[in-house]
Amino acid sequence: MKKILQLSTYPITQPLHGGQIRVSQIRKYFEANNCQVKSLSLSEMSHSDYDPKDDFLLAAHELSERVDVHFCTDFATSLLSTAGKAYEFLKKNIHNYSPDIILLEQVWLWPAIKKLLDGGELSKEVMLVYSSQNIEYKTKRLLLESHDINGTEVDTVINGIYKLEKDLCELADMVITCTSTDADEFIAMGAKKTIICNNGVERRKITPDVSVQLQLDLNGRKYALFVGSAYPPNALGFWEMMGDSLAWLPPECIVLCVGGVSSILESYMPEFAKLYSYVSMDRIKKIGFVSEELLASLVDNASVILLPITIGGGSNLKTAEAIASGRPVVATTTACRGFDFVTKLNNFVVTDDQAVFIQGIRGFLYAGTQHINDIEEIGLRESVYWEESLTGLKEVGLRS
Amino acid sequence: MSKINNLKMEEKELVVDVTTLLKWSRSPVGIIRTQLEFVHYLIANDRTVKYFRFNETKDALLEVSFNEIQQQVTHLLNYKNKTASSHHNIKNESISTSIIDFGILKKVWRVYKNEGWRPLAIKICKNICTEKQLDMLKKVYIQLFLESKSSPSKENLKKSIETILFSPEIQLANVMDVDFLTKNSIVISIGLDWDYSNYPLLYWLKQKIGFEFVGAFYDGIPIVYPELVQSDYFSKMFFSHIYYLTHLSDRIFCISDYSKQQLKEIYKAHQISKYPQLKTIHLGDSVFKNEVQAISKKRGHKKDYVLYVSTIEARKNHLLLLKVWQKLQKEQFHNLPDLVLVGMYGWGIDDVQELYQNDNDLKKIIHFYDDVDDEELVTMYKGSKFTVFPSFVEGWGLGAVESMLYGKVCLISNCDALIEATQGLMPALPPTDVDLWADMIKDFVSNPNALDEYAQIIRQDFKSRSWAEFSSEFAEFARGET
Repeated sequence: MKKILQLSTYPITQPLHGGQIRVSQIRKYFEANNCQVKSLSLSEMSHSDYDPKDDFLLAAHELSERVDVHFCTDFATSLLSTAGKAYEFLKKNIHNYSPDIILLEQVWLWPAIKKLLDGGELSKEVMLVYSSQNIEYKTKRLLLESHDINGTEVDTVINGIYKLEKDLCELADMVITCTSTDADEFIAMGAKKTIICNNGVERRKITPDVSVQLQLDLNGRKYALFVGSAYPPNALGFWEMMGDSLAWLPPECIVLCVGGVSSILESYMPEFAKLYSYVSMDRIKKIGFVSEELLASLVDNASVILLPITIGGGSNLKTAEAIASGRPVVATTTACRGFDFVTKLNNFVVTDDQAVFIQGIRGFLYAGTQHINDIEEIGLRESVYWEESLTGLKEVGLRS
Repeated sequence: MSKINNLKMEEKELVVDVTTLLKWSRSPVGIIRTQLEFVHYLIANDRTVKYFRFNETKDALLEVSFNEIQQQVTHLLNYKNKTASSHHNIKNESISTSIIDFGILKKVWRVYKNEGWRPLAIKICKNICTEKQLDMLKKVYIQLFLESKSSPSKENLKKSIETILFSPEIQLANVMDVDFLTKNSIVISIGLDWDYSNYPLLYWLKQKIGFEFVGAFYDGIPIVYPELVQSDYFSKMFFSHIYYLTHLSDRIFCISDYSKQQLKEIYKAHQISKYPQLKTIHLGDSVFKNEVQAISKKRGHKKDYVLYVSTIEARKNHLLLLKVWQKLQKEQFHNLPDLVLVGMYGWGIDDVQELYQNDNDLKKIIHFYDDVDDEELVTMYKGSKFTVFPSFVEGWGLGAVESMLYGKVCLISNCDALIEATQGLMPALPPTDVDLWADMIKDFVSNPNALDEYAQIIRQDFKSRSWAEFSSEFAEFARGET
């Protein structure tokens, strides 16, 4: 039985955001294919669900002292991973576990692994896999630009991330990517082999009682569903695509905002749009985190699902969920990255034009949808379930 | 016979919200005047019209009798400024037996939302509600409060979405019985609705009952020029009012082409593609009978003076006038008339006050009066050389029209609504150009012919419009006949 070690910068005991879900699903895939998997992390202290045995928590002040740029705790983790207790934690656990394969979930803990390899603490026989989620240096640059964060320190951070990624690409035995675009980029950066594993989705079961209760609570109102993590591009994209205000939504139509993005959405409202905030925030109902049962019902009953992200790389887990649901979708091209086939789907509007985006939502809220019975389309929608999207991982097993 | 009955059943019936009128206890100006004149017209011409008002907590619609509204209209029409209003007070009505007390529900809900305060919420409920009221509250949601115990996490999640999706107005509309509203009703509301109405409740009642709604759009200044209103809060609240007005109304009357255009621009900016029928209906402009007849002189101005009647606030641009008079004074312009500024003090006038207080010469020729009653105002209009209206933006500009009714030339700013209100007959200048205003005032003073020419234009071309004309046109529009 192959021993696989996953390394990430967040715990996966309670997978909530996209990154956690992907790492967790990859683990499940290998476990289902007769591998032994251990998942370690160097995580921010803000995580409330973690396993003290496998997750080492870093204090916020340590991270901000290391890199004093917003949204760069991951890069700070990278720098902290090569020294002190964090490094000792990784070294000890890796030594004890003695993995055949190391799966670096994102690039951040590569410096620690490299140090172990260079110092002879880790066998060079260990297969090294870079399991990417996007092109990190580009995503970071876009994120910082969108917040008007710049300066020499930012340049240093971006260069640092680029060097990490390039170095890992060159030395890793293979690179797992979410999209073919990312794969091309990594090849250009020196990747020897790439495997494309789109983000996927788990099959959800609808609980009739939950749906009935939801309908009662809605009192006849229709809704657009927006699910996202507290990742700033989610909130930024929402305001960019939904207009200055949500006054175009009549009182019987609302936006249900689910997930961590609920907690940051209002704070990312553009300054000029705050004049209209009473209306906009009345249209938006911030639900926050919900049970799987409720999420399934929310998806199933949605008049339309919104995917408004305008920056970021990789492929979006939420997109996979939206595709699988069969519900109408209005999405940006960025949100559909990695799922080129969406243009073939019915009830699926892809646009970067705000007016068309809004028109699309309005159309689905008012006019309803057409039933999907095309076999090819059903097949395409089925392809986004994790068991399909991660099939490329079998190559990791073959090579090891 | 049954055919006739059926036809009768289909007849539309006007139902007018008179909350603002019933609450008003000062001189009826602006929006209040508009509503007053319209209701006055209806009382005289159509006895089938029904009237209603919102209660204090805006969670109940109460029918108003013909006598009650007639009494208030008479009172306001004969209202004399500076007299205390003791005629009408909104009574604290007891909770209607058919309607849930929304105020209680809201308060308890706020308390209950905080888990630590739940026992308090339950206590409040038991203390403030009678058994009957409690029963009614339970019908809506209160029973959830009372029956709730510490729940498992899944239950909490369920509760949480219930809480988030809870809409008091929807619940209230669902259980409310408003017997004077039917699907044949045309509800008209043209008062200070952002303060006194509850549009969300009307919206959901409309969904349930199917009546038509006709509203008014006076201007969009708080949204388009938020810097010219006192607070962000008002702009935000006003936008919310416009939002509901738009989605609630079948027809909206706009007081000017300018305000109609402004509303359309708001719709465009906010991607509201489907909106109610809009129609410009110019307001009436005749002055009160008792105002015309009243000629009492309380404050004599021996010297010539120029008059500006308007609230003293940033948007009205008094600063320009102070600068113009200061400039003319420094130039030692011969025969410079005094400037008389009549109006209540508003906000955003620090710079006006500073300039005025620091210039003793200016104090000799510029006079602020905030205690002028209606009768004296007539005298002031009549005694003025001409009037000015340099406001940055207006929805209409009744003050300028009023000046013309007294035959007085009004030098206005070139904002669209003022030009429209004065029928394009009065001289208009940019509201920021001190030199141009100074030159025009010099011209009017030193060249009487220039002023006379404009006065002649008023006499020949200015068309006054009665409030009855306005009311008749609006009633037709409200009925969907135009």
